[in-house]
Amino acid sequence: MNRYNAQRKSRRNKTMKSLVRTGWILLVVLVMANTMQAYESELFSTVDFFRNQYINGYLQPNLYDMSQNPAFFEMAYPENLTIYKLSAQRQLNLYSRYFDPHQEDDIDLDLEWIKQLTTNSTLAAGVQYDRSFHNEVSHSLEKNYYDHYFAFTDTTTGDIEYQGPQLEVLYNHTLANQFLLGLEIDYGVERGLKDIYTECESIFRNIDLKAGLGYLSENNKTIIGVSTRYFNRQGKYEAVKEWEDALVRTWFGYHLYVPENPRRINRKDDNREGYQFGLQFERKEIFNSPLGIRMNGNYGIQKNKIKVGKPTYTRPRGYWERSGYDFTGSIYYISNGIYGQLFFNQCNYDDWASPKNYDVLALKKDEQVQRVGSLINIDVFDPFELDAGFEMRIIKTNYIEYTADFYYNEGRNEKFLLLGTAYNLNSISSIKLLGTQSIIEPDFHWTPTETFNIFGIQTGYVRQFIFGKLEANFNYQVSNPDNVKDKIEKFGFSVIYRK
Amino acid sequence: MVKKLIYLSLGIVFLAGCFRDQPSLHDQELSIRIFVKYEDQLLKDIPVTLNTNDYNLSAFKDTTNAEGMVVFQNIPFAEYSLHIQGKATIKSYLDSTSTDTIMVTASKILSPGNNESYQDTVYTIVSGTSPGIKINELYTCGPPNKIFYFYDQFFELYNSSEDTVYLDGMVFCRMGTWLESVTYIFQFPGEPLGGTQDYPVPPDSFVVIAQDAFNHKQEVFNGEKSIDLSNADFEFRNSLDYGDYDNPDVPNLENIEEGHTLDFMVGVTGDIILIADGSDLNYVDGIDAESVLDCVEYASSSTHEKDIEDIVDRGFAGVGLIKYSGQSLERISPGFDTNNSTVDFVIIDSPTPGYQHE
Repeated sequence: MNRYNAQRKSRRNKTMKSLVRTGWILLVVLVMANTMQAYESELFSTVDFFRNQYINGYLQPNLYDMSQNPAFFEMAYPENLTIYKLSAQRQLNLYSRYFDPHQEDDIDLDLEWIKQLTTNSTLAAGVQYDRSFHNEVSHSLEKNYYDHYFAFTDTTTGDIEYQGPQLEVLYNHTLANQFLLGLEIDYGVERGLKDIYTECESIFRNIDLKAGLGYLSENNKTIIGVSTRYFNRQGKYEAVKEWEDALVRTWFGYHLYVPENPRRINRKDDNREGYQFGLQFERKEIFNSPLGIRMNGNYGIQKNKIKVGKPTYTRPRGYWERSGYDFTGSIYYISNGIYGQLFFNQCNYDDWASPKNYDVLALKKDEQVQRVGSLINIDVFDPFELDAGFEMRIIKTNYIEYTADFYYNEGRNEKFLLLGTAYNLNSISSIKLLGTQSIIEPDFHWTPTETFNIFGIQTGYVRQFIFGKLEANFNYQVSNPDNVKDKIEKFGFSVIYRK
Repeated sequence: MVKKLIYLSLGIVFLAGCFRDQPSLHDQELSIRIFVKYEDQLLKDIPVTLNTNDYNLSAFKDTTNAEGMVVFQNIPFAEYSLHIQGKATIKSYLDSTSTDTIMVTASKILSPGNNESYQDTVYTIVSGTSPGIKINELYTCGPPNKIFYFYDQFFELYNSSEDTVYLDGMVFCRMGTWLESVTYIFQFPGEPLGGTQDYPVPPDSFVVIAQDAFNHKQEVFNGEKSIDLSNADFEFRNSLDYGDYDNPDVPNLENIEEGHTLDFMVGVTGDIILIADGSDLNYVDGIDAESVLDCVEYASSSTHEKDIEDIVDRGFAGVGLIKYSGQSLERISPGFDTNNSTVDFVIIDSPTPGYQHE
């Protein structure tokens, strides 16, 4: 283990300077990126190849971030680390879909600790508190109406506030320097409350358990892993009456709804449960070259049961399942002053749903997402460096609502380009500037808009103090839909303390 | 190793059992075939309508063919209320060489299972076989307000017969669960069964009975919401309720239940209302079914379990009725009565005392 650690530290020190600076990458995403996953446990959480390493101080993509196998955590984060982060974000949806909020404000406080307990065991813990304000939400009682096949709506427009804590604990242990064990538990609670009647209160409880095993070859160049995941989400909505009865609707897909019985309280239970299994492989320094390869594959399935009715008794309203697989692969190159990566991701999943009383297929969705891209960081000359990234997505969606006679079968493209630069002012402070551009073809929910042009800019300042590193970031992003005058604007800031 | 494989297999089997198989049948593949009959004769060219409360779908409409059959193909799986009303040409019973034209009606709830085809035969009755006084409209849920005001409730009667009907001595009741249980009983002035004939209702005319016959719109809500009932034809009155408003210009239905001290107030979104000819005034053992002229059960919940006996009402109206919304329940056309309030009534956005909604 000591030999293994020594090798890693040596390699890390060589590239640390480059890696830390390269961490300016995609902070637009970073500020927005929170572990919201704990509130909405999904299958195959999207791997963002440009994010997250910065906040933890390591740019180099790793097998843990790719696979979420807790067995590989210590390999990715081998040092004690403390991170405090406060971020605030505002999004103005001057152009929006019918059920979207017109304004979203998010405030997040994130505390994370990584502690090496012994030479072969690591403990990580995190506490996060989020507060979100969704203002002028049109009818929807969901946090994101378009993520639900059985969404709950009422007849009013109001503001909804969401808040709640999330807890994360991860334990990682190494046996005989070669066998890696890991266990991760994420738990989150979120409460939402609408400010006007139906004053709908929503409460979500998520638990996400991950366990993993890994094998590390004697020469530390080959890694094999297997992981499993179980997640369970319990969601509850209660829309209450003021003077008139609560008049709510439960949607079946996006074109049909059931007017629920008017009553004093209308309740919806939305419970989700799922499993995921994964295999990982990594080979470093192929033929003693700076090249490496990394792969992760997952299979998963989840089910959702929706019940609606009185608080004392809810009846089945619908059922839907999602199953599919996800494969990610990357080839990377690490050399002095240059880091590069080519990546590929394919995610296929099938959804189907049936209504309450009949064993028939009400809707079906098959989606394939293919992603290819690259990321490169070059030390042009000290103290100046350049980052560039590119990603392209091809999305094929076949969505059918049999009951409403709605068919959507389209292919869409998304392109993303990133250019960034960092400049070390002196040995303890640096500044950064980052620009992004995306062209996105949205799905049918955004009809008649066919393309979004998205521009983002991020600037930041980092300073090293005796007590740690302090960092401030500001970001702005604008999304321009074609043929529409209005746009979507997003701006925010974050302050990060890291030690 | 073998043990591990067995455990792994068991685990996978257990996991697979937690999830359902994807249904092989798509929605919109249901086919409903209905044969429409009057007695033993199949009826052609009869309009048939299917409505559902399961989705916000428009009604499905079609007409029977020469074989008296109508087929609705590729419709969603749902519970449907079937409604039939139309002119039918049938063989004359008096002269087999000639035909008669009659108005027929029928209604039925169709609950198809998981099979893709459903077939049923519906027997119609002659519309207006028992014409007479019908409860045509019930306005119970109150106007939009925040003071729990529902005292502008009223009931509208309609004479669907071709003769003048006299209301003298008839009784108007709020029922409990069954015909045996009378909650309120109020009586029109006069003697029943032709004892007096002071309160005539000509054919095709409306009668409005107010809980309190005054201008609720003006006097309570200052010109907004609610309705003006100062010109109602009748008013409920309980002399034991000393606070009960009494409009001297409007004749009263008086409470005849001993010890009852309330005005005629009914549930805003659920109750049972009944009108009887007044031949059975012994309310302690209920109301004789033979004396019932019309009865309407209503409930806002689609999962409501029906109460009153089928002989007086085979369904219930008002699914979706909202408290304090100003909505009202009215028959789909004046006096339309198939003895099934589920299909006879519709919810209208605002009350129409003394006239029919459009």
